[in-house]
Amino acid sequence: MTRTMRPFISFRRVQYFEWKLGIKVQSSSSEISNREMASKFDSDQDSGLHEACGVFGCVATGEWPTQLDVANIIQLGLVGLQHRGQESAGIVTSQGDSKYQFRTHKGMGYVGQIFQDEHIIRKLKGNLGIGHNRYSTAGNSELTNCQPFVVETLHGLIAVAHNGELVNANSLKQKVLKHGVGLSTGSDSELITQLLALTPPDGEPNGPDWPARIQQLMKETYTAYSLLVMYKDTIYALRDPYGNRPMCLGKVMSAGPISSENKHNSEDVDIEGWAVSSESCSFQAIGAEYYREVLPGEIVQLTRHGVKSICIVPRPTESPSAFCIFEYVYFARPDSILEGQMVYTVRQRCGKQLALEAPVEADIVSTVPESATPAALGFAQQAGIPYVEVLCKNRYIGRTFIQPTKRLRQLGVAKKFGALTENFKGKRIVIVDDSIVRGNTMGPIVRLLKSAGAKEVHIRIASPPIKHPCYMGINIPTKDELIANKLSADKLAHYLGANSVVYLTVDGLEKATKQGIEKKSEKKVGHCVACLTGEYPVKLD
Amino acid sequence: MRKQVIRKCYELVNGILESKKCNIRGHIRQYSKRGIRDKVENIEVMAGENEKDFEICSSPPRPSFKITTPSEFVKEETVASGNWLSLQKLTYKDPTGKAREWEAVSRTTRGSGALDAVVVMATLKRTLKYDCIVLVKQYRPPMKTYTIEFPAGLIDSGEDPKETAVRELKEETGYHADIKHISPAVCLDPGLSSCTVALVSAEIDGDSHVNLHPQSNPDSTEFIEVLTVPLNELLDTLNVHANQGSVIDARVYTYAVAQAQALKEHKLEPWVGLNKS
Repeated sequence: MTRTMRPFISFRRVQYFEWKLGIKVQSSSSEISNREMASKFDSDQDSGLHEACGVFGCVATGEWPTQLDVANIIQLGLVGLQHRGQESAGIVTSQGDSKYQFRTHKGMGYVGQIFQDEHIIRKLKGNLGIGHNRYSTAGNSELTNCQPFVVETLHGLIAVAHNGELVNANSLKQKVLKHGVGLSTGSDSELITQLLALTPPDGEPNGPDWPARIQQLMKETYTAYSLLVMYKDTIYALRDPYGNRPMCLGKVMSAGPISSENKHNSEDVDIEGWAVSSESCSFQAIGAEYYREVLPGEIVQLTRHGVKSICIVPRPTESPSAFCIFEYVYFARPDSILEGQMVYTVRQRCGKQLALEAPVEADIVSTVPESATPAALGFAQQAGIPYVEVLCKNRYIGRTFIQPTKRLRQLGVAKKFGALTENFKGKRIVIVDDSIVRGNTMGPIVRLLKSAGAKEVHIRIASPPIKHPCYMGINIPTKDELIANKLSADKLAHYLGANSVVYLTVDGLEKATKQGIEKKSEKKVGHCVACLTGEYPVKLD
Repeated sequence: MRKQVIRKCYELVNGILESKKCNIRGHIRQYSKRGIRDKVENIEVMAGENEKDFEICSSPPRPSFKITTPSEFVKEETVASGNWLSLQKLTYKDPTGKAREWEAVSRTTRGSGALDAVVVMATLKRTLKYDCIVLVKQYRPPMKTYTIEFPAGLIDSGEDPKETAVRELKEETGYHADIKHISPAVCLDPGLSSCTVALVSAEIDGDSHVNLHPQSNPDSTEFIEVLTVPLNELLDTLNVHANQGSVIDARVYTYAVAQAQALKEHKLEPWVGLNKS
């Protein structure tokens, strides 16, 4: 007889909460209770860095009402962006003819679970729409915080999907509240929505002027946001002037030639719609082609007639842009294209740079599956040492087997991985990982390898140590929890039980990243490395 | 003694029903030796003004009408004939055996089989687009207006209905279809004519390159407009066309009603009192 774990939160209580919040969580009770537990303890289990969100939008071109299944396309796009947020998701669609009618569905959990029921996608039938994946930065898992937010303004309804966190949220909040606006959630995404509802200073003599309102918003707050605003039959896609969070555009083509086996000419394929996404990895899933990036400060207008760049709001000073470097290191999916280069290639280059900066005598190079594989391959290539797998991942161990004590927590890590002993017995291993935040994952792994017969274990981290908090949308643990603040690299080696620990330098990381970007003479391309160096791109609140 | 008890029961029941101005007629089966088991069979409760005393009937009531002697075709006589149609005067026997007459129309083009034509219900399926039904709009002289129908065509002599369906769809709409189902011979307007068709269900792979840019190939006499309507908007679209003056074919409208009913959401409310999100 198998022992089942008693749910942390009883089924009845869960039912009560679901009733109170007016939601129907699309999962079984045990999953709910385990997820509740998971949110309490997951910070210890995984690396500790949490991405804020993912946004996706789509407009159908040609005749309206369209035959393109826009709601399904947005759902597939969100599934492609699931790695950016798993807590909740929402889709808002519109027929585009009315200012007062949006169709919306939001829920907690994975996108596939929320939109499982056929009727929901059918009800979301529309000609354009936006969607959002959320990972809460504060831990408030409530339906009211689920985006996209829909708000009524003077000119009708708008829907807003936001990726990022406003650096001057506090002062902005005071300003908005002083205006007499009431806020119902604690999120700054609602702040953005309320700011958009304010009338711009020139008044609006010719009717609603959303670009002017957006420009006013961009002057109030400079970073960090990648935003989708839907009004009537238009989607406005914009990035903050520092370009901290990513956003790109895609052409939706008839998906036929991708699913059928026949070869096709590109002339046969028509443009069926335009899509905008946080990352380009979700375009392939919907038969779309990557078109271009939304530039920092740019406002792009997407309608059924096509894509139009309205303007580019400049940065207040001559400072370079500040694209979050951790998108390259950790968050983005390897197949996404950021700043014109593929993320996988950048990670590989980081590995190569690491091999140049911190070489070591070793027999094999390996990694912790799976995020650091490109870096490890780059390291192996540069150092001339063979890449060999040493760990086998049990992909069925999610967060459901978390135990509350430290010993069992570390046992949990060991449960997730098994050692491929024959591959490394008696050998000197270099383990390449993309980051160390708390140090809870790496310690048990080193112990596992050494006890299975590894002669030496050298750790190489393909990113500099994280020392400072992020205010732009990445949830980094507090200063105390960051292991880089407590231990220097050599002491860290002793703590983890490894023979050596070396980080990639900030210069090395920047060099590896900038290598693939075409030099643009007028604007300086820069990356935000505030969490590594403590130098923030904007003055903080 | 027992019969008295039973009679008293019936009087009681009758009394209750009498107050509602009903009569009971029925009969009692003989009770078995083991005990009083009465089953009242064939109770007819008739509402009426007059109160009658309770009657115990023994004869069974008149059964509902059943066809005992089927109607039969006797003879037909061609009254008039043209290039495509002929008018018949038919004589047939009704179930009572009486001879009756009927006027009917039939096509002169019917081949060796029992079918006059095929009607193709083709669904266009494309990835990430709604499934659409393929309809044709053309001028129909008998209706004196445009109609919206399924693509259809007469079966050439010696042709298999499947082949006709594929050929007609290709000629009228330009799509290559895969036949999924063929109905038995079904009639169109049986009070008027003897025409029968086969309803062919087909699927068009809209992703295949042959169906990306369909080219229709009609006869010189045919002027056909192809409509691809998403199934989830079919009924509304047909109503719009009907308001604009076109007449919708009965089969198409029936299909649209069935689609709308099938797509209607049957809500199951597992928890009472929840707000719908």
